[in-house]
Amino acid sequence: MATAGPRAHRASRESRSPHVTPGRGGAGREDGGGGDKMAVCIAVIAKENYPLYIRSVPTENELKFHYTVHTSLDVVDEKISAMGKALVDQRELYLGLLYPTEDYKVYGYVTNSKVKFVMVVDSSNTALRDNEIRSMFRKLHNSYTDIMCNPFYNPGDRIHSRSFDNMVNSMMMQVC
Amino acid sequence: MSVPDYMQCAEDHQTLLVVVQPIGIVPEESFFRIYKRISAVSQVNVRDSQRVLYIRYRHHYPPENNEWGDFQTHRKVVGLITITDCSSAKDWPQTFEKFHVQKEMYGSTLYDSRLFVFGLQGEIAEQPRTDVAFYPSYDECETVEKRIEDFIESLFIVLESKRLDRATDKSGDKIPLLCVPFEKKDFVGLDTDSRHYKKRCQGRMRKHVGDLCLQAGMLQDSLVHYHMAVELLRSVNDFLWLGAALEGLCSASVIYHYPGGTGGKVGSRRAQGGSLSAEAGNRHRPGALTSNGINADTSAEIGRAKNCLSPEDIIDKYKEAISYYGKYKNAGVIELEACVKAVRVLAIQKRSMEASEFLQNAVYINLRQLSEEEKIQRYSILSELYERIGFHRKSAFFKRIAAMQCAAPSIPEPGWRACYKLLLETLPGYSLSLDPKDFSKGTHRGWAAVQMRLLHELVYASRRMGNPALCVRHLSFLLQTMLDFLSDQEKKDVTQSLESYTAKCPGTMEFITLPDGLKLPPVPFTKLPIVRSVKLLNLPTSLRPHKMKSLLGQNVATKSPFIYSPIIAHSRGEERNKKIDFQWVQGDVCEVQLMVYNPMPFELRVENMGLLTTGVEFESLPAALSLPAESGLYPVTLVGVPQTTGQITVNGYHTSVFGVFSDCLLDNLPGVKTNGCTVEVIPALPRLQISTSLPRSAHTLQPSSGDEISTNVSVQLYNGETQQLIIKLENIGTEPLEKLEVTAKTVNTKEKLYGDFLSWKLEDTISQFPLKPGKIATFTVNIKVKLDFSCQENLLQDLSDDGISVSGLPLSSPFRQVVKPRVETKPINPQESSKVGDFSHVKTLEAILNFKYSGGPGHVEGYYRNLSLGLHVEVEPSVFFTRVSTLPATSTRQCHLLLDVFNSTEHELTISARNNEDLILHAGECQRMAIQVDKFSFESFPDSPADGTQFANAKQLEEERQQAKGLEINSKLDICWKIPSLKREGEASVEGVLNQLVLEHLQLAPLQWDILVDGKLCDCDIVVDCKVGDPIPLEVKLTNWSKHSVGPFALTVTPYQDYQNGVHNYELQDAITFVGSNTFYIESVKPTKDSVYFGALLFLYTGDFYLNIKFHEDNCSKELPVSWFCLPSVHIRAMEPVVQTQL
Repeated sequence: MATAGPRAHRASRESRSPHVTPGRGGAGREDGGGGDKMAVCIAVIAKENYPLYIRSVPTENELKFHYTVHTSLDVVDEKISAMGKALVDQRELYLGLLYPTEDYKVYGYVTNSKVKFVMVVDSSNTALRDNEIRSMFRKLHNSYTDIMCNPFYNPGDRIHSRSFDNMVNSMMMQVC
Repeated sequence: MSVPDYMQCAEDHQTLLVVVQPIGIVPEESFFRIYKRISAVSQVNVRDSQRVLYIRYRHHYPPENNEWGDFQTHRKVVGLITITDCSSAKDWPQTFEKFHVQKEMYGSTLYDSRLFVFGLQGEIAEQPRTDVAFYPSYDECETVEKRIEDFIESLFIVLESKRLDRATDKSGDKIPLLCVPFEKKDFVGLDTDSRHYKKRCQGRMRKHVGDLCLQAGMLQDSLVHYHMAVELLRSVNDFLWLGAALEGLCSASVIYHYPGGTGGKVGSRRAQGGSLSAEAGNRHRPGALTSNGINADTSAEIGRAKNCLSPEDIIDKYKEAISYYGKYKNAGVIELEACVKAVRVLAIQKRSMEASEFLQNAVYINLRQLSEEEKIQRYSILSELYERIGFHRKSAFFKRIAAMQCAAPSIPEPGWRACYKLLLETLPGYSLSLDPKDFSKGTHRGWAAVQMRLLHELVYASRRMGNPALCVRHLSFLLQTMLDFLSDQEKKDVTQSLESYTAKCPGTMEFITLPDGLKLPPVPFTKLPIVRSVKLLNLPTSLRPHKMKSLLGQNVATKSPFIYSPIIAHSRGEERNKKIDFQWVQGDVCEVQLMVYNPMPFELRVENMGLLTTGVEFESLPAALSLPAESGLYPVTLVGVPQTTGQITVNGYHTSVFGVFSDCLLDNLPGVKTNGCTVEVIPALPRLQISTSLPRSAHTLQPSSGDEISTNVSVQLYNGETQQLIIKLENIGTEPLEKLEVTAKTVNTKEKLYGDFLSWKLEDTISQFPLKPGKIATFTVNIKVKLDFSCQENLLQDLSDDGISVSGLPLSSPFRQVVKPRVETKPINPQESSKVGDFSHVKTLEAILNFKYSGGPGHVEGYYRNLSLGLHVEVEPSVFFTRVSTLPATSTRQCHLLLDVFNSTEHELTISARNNEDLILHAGECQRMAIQVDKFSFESFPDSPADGTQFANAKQLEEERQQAKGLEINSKLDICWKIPSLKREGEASVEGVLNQLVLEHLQLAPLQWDILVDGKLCDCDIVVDCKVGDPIPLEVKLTNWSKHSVGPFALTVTPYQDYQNGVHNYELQDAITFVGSNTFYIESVKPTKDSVYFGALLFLYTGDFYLNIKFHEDNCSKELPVSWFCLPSVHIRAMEPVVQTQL
């Protein structure tokens, strides 16, 4: 049952450090070998912290990603509350790396209306730079804005949109 | 060192570790009672100084951890207290021996030890010893605390001496190298004289002194020592010890900055210690610090405050220390504990992000293979720490893993109870509440997939705990709240397991209280089935109570002084929303209709579904239903019987689905439509059941008035037939029937109906009242159908070729037609046989009999019930009068009515009229019958509109008049038909047949002409005898019955002879002479007056003579109808005067 549990065994202890610098967590790791791997899970979370949309690569245990995204909200909340004190108008929407697990890296993004985007990326994917993550989030945000513009969409409902699906699909990694 | 102490916090660095252990057989309860008292003494103010000693007590401490005591002195067991139970003196030596053995275990590090002996009395107990204390029993040991304080003081003395010993040890003497267990072999053969080695020794010793200072309550000194140690060790790259020195620096700074402690409310020990250490902390403030002169390091005086790390630096130094520890695999526990300590500090600083990084790191620290218990402990403490930094979700995540670990398959005896308890604690983290009300408030807001998993785990854990009730509760909660998120297969699985659990323990509506006080509210299945609307139904029409009109009027009058006010009506509108405008009746089955649907992908069996009500004693009659898979809206009717009167409110319903009993209150259901739930129950009324002599009808009457008919009966009658309908009234209620009123209403008025359709006598029935319950009364109704006997347009074309006109103008002899009846069998030619069907066209008549009845207490309250009986009469045609005409009779006062009668039945039929013999008609036969009737003078009716009233009125009046005339004519005719083969008979009416022309003919002319010949009144068939040669007086008398004056008229009398061969001989001048003129002149006659004119005739020859009296064609006569001038013809037989011949 504890499939999503923390892995207490790590290959190299030397690389571990509590100084986790956001956005640079995966630097220096060897490449996992995936060519154009992208996100493995993308979630949209409402202001009240319930999921509006969550989608993961079908090969993996879906529940695991639910847990991953769910727990990442703690960090998102913390970052938002820390940011609340900062200048509101100059606020950076991109939250950076929320936390790394041994297999994945979790990135966050929060809109001005406190809707959160969470993206889980395979940690073996070193090709993905911070800027690319940023642009992916921006694309997501644009797509989400399009959904909100749909007069038939009730804000707060689950997202059922083909165009959004396509968007997310294009960002998800191709399963080889 | 392998066993991490997850409870450690920074302030533990200043404590002295004392192990309290039992030896021999000590009851656990007693031991912990003493242990508790001992551990209460956690802070001691040392005599002669303001320093405070902190003590950490352990009842279990692994000796291998003790070996790390040089590395961090708070890990060193410095005191041992053993507790033993010794009842007799002879056991004493043995016990004492054990004490020594125990001391050996921690022997190398112990400063001092104590033995507490309980139960021993006598001489051994008398002897004063410092290391042993005797107490007669566990209850009589008041001096334990005092003893402990003394013991701690002795520890302090040793500590202080050691500190001073080490601190002053600054000479060039060789400083021993302190090392941790795993280092020992590394230093074998190392050059002990090297500068490097010496520095290392110094640094480590400095650090050790710092530890001792900290323990001895000399915070500032310790800071100085640590700083020096850091410098020394950094220069020699002794990373492990550098880490320890840095951590010591951090600990001391934390103690300085956070006198409240960082452990929080982990244990009572902390909480208690925290409050005291606050004041202790004040004492350590730089200004308040008193240097007690033993401080050998003069540099301590300089920049005291600077030595202490700032809060930010603490974290930096912790990070550094941990990174150094990380270099050594064997120092995993140290690193882990350092992480935990740092997290606690960060939690106080509210720097959650950094804390989470430390924790994240701690997660990855790999110790040796952990036992299951240690894993649980590890995950729980992680959860607790995450909770502390506000990461509730992460905390829940780890707690859940800990819970799962409790029941891991590798554990021989899974701790389901602990697992369940831990799982419950994770609920808030997953924003899950076990109260279904929180869910019904709106749409689901949460992580369904994750929450579902947790609920499944709760179900499983509670089942394995052997608590089926709990298991059922969780499973029903899962089904109720997560229904929308379950897949079809999951729904099936969940319900299947639910059913198997409820077979053992049915789900109830009671709260389940867990041992730790948590209450699990009941879970009503409001979604199985989903109720969309609740509608209280009125009673069936026949049972519906009605308020007596008069009483209702009174009520309204007393309520408001106004007859009508829109304002009041408006304000009542709101009230009406809640209250329903019909009533239920006590003792009668009342119904509530629910529109439900089954959201499940399989058939849903709902058992024991009934109503929940308040206000009135209500006997609910539960129903069981089975809803097809994913049914649409499905009506369900729940019934019950109110036993008392008053207001009843339907609050909800109860069900039993999958073995779970649910009480669903409407207030808690979202999106339920209702027409109000409160209805009045009025006192009981009797119930009437009707049965009739007639068969029940399949036809249902749907009258527009909205009355609903409970019973329908139908009867087939021939037109004109009369039938008795016997109605049995049975009181099937429980109240006596006291009142009955009957009214009838004909529904289908398309057909013209003659005579009374329904007639009855109520008196006979009323005489049987009051009708006791179960008794029967009878009531008789006569049904008489008399529809139009004419066949309207059906025969018109058939008649067009008929030579005989209906004009009724005098023809030579009416008798011919009667004698020679027109046999109408010939029209049955192929063409017309199809038309026969039209004659047999069945007409229907429908009527409603209303029975208003009342009785019992309901009658007193002014209520009654209305029962309707629908009557459906199919009228088959019996006979038709296909044509009607008149022929003048021989008398002008009489007339022949000629009726062509058509038998449209399939049976032989006889028809009779008054004074006529029976006429036999075969099926489909048409015959003419002639009835001689006296002409009618319709004087009793208004003759004509008196003056120019409205035209429509005039027409109506005309119709009415015609109807009345028809009625009168019919009553005279008395035509009856009889079907002998069926033994049925009835009347036939000509009312509808008569037309204006016929009526005119049947009417007596208003001008009455009387002709008297020889003083005798002449009429058509009267032959007047007279003698030849005698003058015969002729008298013409005109009586005017009309309303206007008539005349003047001129009449000419023309005699003629009829040769009976169609030849009339008018050449009779030589046979008859007139005495006087043969022309009469009549002056105008006023209404109701008469005038008489006389003349005379003289017959010259014998013979039969006729007199034809003709009017002169002049203007006035043309204004009046011809029939008014219908004078009887006069037949005179002139004979030889017999007397003369004889003479």
